[in-house]
Amino acid sequence: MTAGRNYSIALLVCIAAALLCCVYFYFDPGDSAFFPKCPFLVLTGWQCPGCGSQRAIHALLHGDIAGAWSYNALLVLAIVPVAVLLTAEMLRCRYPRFYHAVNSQWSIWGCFAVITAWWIGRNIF
Amino acid sequence: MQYWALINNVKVGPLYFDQLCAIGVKRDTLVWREGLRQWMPADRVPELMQLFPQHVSRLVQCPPTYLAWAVVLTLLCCLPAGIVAIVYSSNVESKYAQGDLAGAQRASQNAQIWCILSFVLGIIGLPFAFITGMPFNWLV
Repeated sequence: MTAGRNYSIALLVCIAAALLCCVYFYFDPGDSAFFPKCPFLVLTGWQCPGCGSQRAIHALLHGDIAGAWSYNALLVLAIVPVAVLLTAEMLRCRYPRFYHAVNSQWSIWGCFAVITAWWIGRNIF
Repeated sequence: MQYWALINNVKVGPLYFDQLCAIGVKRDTLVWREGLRQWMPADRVPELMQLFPQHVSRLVQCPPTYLAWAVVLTLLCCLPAGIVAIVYSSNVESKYAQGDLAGAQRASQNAQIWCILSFVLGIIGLPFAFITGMPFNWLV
């Protein structure tokens, strides 16, 4: 992936994120029927790792960390690591060592283990 | 064309192209032939570059793992497809660590495909989720 393409993707993602933040700030997904529901939950009856993310984002945008935690704790925990990962992704060409350190075997399997544990755990408890 | 190679500080030659391949010239083995001003690493001699197919890709760093996107999509797209992408991400790293660049690139492509798939399925699922999800409104 070239640097130019990286930057245009970053720009698009930022614009989309800003727009979505506005939507999720002004509307509460828990109160409105106009927000998409998780297809995995509807089909299987089990929660997926991302269930509750919309309500959690709404809560976070209103500064309600405890509320966000109760909707999707992993989303709250993932904010910092994901920010680091995305930064590394954007600066891959300029700082390949940083990218390599962040995308190590350990961090990848760590992500996998945490998400899988969260997925199973939230359906059991 | 005849070549001389410097192997363990011993000048070996003259060698024909095939013999040069047979003695296992490495990319940093010093080689000389008529027309070269000095001994050069084998992968710098134009017609010998083809002996080192990874010549270009070695210079490129590890292919992208797409881990960041996979994690974001898993948490936001409500589809377990992101988890498959994470598994491929780890393959990228392990293959690269083993020196298997082609394998790492394949895994990288797969990780990208599963990220895109996760995103597209999420988008396709939207109208479906609007309609069927009404009773589950409070859950998502």
